[in-house]
Amino acid sequence: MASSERYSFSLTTFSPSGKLVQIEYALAAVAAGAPSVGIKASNGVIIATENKHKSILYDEHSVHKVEMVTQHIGMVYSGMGPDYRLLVKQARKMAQQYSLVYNEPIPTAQLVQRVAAVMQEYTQSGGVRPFGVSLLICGWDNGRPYLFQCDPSGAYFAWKATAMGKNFINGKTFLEKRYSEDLELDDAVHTAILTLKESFEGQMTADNIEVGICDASGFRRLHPSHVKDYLANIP
Amino acid sequence: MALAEICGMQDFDTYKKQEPFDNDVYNYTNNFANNLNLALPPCPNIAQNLSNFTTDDAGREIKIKFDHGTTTLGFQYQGGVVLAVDSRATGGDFIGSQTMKKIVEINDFLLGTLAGGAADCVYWDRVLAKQCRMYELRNRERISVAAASKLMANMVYNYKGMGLSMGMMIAGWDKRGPQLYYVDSEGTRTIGKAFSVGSGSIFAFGVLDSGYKWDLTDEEAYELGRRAIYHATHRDAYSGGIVRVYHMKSTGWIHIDNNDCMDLHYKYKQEAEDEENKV
Amino acid sequence: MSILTYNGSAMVAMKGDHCVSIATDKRLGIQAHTVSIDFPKVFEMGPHLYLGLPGLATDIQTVFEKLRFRKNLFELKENRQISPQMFSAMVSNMLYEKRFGPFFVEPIVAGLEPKTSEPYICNMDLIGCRNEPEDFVTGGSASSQLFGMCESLWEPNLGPDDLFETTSQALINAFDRDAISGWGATVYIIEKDKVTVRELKTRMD
Repeated sequence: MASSERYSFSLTTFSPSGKLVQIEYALAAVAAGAPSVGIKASNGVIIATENKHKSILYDEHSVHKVEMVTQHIGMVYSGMGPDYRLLVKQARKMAQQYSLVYNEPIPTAQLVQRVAAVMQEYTQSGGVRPFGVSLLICGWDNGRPYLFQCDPSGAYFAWKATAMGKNFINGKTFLEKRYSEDLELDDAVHTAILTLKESFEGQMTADNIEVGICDASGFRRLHPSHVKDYLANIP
Repeated sequence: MALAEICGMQDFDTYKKQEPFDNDVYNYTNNFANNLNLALPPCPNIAQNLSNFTTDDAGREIKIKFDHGTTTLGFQYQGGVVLAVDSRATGGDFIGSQTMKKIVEINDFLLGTLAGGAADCVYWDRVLAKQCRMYELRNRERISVAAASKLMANMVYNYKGMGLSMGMMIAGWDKRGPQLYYVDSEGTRTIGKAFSVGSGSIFAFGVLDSGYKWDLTDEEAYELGRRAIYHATHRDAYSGGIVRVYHMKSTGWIHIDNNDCMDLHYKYKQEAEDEENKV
Repeated sequence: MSILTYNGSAMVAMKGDHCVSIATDKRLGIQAHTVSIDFPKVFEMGPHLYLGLPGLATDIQTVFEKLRFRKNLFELKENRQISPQMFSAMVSNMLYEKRFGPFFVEPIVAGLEPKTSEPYICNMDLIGCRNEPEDFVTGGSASSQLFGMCESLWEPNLGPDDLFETTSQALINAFDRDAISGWGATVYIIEKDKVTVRELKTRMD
């Protein structure tokens, strides 16, 4: 793990009170990051995130936050972009490795477990710091949707709906009020956008949010024109 | 032509007058006239140069050896000689036949067993049968087993080192009583009380040696031979099929019986279980 | 002599109507010398999953242990039964790992898919090239004889009883023409709600 012998001790060490402050700082980095939302519907699962830019000069639809891992799994993050890229790369590699060995797509739960294991490794290895991201991983297998959250500590949770990043407490409260078991995909996208809108500063457009959908036909990122249609229904 | 005459070579081309066809006929049918002559490869010192004919250009061995697996046995006892053999013929791991006759009836008072190259054994047994019959006609008496086995040994000795492969027993009854000889293609010829030949012989010997006595009754002797061959077929992959038992008596040989190895196996198994239950 | 025929074996698996069979001989030899006539070569890897390993005896045992290890690890990790499809992919992968120094076994996988109960059979060469035909697979030193028997006896949609008869006859008559396999046989008939194991009475020479 560590390239240098001299600094091969772990940076994540216990404080006298038994806390791993490095992980708490990592969670703080997540909580300061752009919000993202995930909602499971009866016929699929959606993830959405804010993708705001500081300058109008920025070319919006070139770099994405919502990424596909396999045909049936996608993910998004709150926190530090560069850390996320590494995890996407790892997740894709692990998914391919799995299908190479078993000739079958990796189950979402398995991918989550393995990604979480990578994140945990960075909390105990020498010379590295924990990831500054929390992930939302959504997938479809065995004929049902899955939604997981992966934290910098390596902990992971299965959600019906959740929010992460800036204002996540408000987001969760909002979802608790709006969520119902028999939600359909379209309603879920609608609810997700509304949740993001709760804390959104400025005008929400098809160019500053990203939405990913996963259902029986696989995972896909919504085209901005498609997002625009959903936004049209938002009051 | 002039030069030839000056050199005194008047009959330079007389060889042309000999009919080459006659020569060919003689050469190609030599074996008809004399069974002991086999066509030999056209080169000197065949035994030393044999590898030229048993390996290909790349030095790989050309497969011309078949039927190496066999179990045969024969032993003398107070009642004569018992011969017992299996009946499996293999080519590599493939079983070509389960019903081969590995005891050759040379005449009424001579039996030969075969192991090794099937064709070698069958051919030379046939030649031996002919020679023995010739002897009978010439001398108005049957050939002794000693003489017959020596004929065989001498015949194959002529081809030693040229790839013949045979290990046989010759059993018979002559003026001197019952006789049992072992003859092989290496030139060995030896008289003995009990022999076993072939890939399964080690297993057969195990049974034969532990059960062998001079005073065996006929039935006991047959059963000993049968059991020895059966156990060999059980342990040796290249032996199997049918166990054939022959008895050489003062009145000539008789064929005792044929038993399928499968039947024998389950019969012996049943007997062993019954024995167990008695105790 | 090929090292694959050092110990001798005969193995066959067939598809039937909602059932599969796998059958093996029981011999362990050292070339012509029969050492054991009760040597296991077919292994239960799950309620509806069987693995047959014809080939070199030492590698049969090693490969079986390695596969059991990997299969158990999978089932613990994923908290579910491995399917025959996935299992054979795993076997194939493990064998190719040793591409330049292979295990001398040519595995056969037979089973039913856990959810659909679809019959599944597959065999592969010693470095893991998979073959998943619709009818039957063979392996071992008697495999050419088995091909001949299966080609003439097998027909589609055999019920469990007919499948047993077909498999048994194919196996017995095949290894009766092979010197280094036989000495008893075991037949497994795998159905959705039961697996029947039968020992066959065979020639012992």
